[in-house]
Amino acid sequence: MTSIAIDGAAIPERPEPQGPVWFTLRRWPVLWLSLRIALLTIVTLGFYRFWGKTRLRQTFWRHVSIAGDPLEYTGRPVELLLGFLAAIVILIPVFAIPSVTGLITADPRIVGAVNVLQFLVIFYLVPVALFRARRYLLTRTLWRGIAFGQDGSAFRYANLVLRWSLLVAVTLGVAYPRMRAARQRYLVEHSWYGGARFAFNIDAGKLTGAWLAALGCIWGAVISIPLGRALIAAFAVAVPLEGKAVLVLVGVAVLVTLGCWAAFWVFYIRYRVREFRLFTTGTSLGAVGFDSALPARPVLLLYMAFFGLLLLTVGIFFAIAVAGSFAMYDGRVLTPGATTLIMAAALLPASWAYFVLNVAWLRVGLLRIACQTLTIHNLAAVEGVIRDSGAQAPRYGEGMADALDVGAF
Amino acid sequence: MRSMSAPSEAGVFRARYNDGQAARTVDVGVRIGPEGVTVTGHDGRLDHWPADTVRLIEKPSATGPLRLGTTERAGARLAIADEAAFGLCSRVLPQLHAAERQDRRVARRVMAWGVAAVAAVALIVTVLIPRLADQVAAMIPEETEQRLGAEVAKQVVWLLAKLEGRPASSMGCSGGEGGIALAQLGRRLSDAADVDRPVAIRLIDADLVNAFAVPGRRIILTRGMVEFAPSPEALAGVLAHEVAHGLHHHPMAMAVRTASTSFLLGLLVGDFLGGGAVVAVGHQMLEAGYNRDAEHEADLTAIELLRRAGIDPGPTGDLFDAFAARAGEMEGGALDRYFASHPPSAARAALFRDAATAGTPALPPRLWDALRRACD
Repeated sequence: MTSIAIDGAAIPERPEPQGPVWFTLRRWPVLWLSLRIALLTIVTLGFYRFWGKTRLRQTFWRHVSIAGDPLEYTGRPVELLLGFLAAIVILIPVFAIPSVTGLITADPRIVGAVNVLQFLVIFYLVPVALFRARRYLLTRTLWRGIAFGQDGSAFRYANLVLRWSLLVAVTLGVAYPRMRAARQRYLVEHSWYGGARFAFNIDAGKLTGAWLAALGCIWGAVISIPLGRALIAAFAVAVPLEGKAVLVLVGVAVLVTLGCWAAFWVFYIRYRVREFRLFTTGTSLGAVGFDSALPARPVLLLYMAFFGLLLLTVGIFFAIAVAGSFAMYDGRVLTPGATTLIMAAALLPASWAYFVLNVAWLRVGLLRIACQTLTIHNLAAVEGVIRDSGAQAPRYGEGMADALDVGAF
Repeated sequence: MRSMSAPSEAGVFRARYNDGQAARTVDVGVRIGPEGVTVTGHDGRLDHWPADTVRLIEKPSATGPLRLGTTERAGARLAIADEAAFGLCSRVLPQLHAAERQDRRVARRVMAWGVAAVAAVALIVTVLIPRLADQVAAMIPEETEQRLGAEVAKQVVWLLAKLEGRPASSMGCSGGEGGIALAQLGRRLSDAADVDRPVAIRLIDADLVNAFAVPGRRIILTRGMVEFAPSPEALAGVLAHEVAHGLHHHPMAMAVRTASTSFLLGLLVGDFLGGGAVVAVGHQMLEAGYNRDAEHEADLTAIELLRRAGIDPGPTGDLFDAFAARAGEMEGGALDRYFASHPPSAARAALFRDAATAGTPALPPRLWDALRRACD
């Protein structure tokens, strides 16, 4: 091991690059940070959210290290604000036209048509927003001083999503994994690190099994309502039933539907975990390969704990709100003022709780487990990557995604 | 006398270096001094950052070392673990915190604009839109209002039918003698209002005690209200109130206001963290306040219409007293005042009673009976 001296201090030999990805963020600091951010956002009527998002991302990025070097987030809050303002300009007509139409014409067919049109426009704009938000995020992420990038066109991406969504609808949902693969392919194959492009290579057929399990649950849930109703009606005709028996049957039908939905969530999470593993393995950067061993059960438990915590917090707030209005109104709970206050007092903390728990519990947990189970092959090959001086980086971003409230993190 | 120059501070530290060109991290030695940062590696001097180009990327903390960057080369980074380095940098590198300072300046400017924007929006929503809504409502052409009113009337009847659990088509009872009674009342009030097209009153077989003014000078009256009214004069008072709403274009104005206010607030707030709830509550309070003013205006105009039609407003006061008694259990505490869409019934009763004068019966007894039986 050779070392050279500089003004008396010795520099050690460079260690070999390692593969593991570390995530060193703990939950408690994030909890306090997100609570502060939520408070400031409320107090500033939402203006602070751009600063809050930036702080959060800086914190998260800083705690992800690959081969000893952390990620760095170089986004500025002002860029997010400008993006938001730009998006509003585009969205004003999208939201204003149906409202105005409702006023000038009373014909329900025209009003209906305009509303459908508005829905389609927003449906189309969502992938546009997601694409642009991802591009902003990538170009503001540095590793070892080199920035990521994304080329391609948001509108081509949205067209792709539209085509595939139609296919999914036509196949009653069976084509869903292939759609996800097609979307991911477009995104990954247009992603860059410095001057090197990512590649994507998978066999979407491997996801069919996991997806069909989840899809079956959706079909079950959807069919169970009309089927249950028809069965009960037929039963009631064949066997004269008294009120209680009908109630029991209805209860059973409702339980079956709820059970189907609960099963769907479980199977869907399992599907997404498998999809993540497959997509990660299929992604490569030159000679650098990735592999994920993300296990399904911890992820499932994470989500269940998240929902449990959410219900608990919202339940507590709701109880406090009802108790408070009881006290204020001497037991008369149903006056308009009381009801509005209860709803506001319960809803507001509910959305704060959702935000805080989502960030501090769910995101930290997911990211940690994803990083722990990620392996990178041939990382040494990345050292040949050189900065792309001609890269396109948007000057401001994410406005559409913020205004349409998609891809919040 | 010899001048003493302050000894220039400098320090040497180990660091990890990225040159911003290649995705490689190298272990280096750095010398930090007033001349800048000099980076030396195995093969000699790698880089030099002039003092005023050095920027702080990240403060040293429990979770990470000091990180420095430079404005000369994007992506060039130094990570220094030694704790003494940060103090030294702060002392000898003048522009170290320039990026932070710039961000804070921008943030302050944004806050200022933000406050101005919020104030502007508040002004628009509380003052401008209501005023404009009244103007806009008055300007909407007659036939548009008629067509809109027809649709709204259909919706109201449909809703009432849902409440009663009956098909909408079975709800109307405007035929026969009862219909004649309504037409007579309607014409009398329209003449008093001096409008060319008479108001159209529709009687709906619903238990609900209410009357609705709908755009296009239509009124929907419920059987419940007819039964609740102690006398035809009291009923005439209720109808006059609704006609007054129509004359002032209140229903239309409310539609315009609701559409523009909720649209504006919703767009601006962008549904942050329960912003929707804030908007909803604020909106309710605004609307309620505005409705209370509209209701009061309609009361005053109704009294005027009754007088011109030769009907005594006094019995309508009795009707509001009956309302007040009924609603006694419903009205909550002080906060309800801000959410109530009507002024307190007791006050309205007093208003009508004070205007009591002599008058002719609103309907002959025969037609009044027919009206009360119209939905049987």
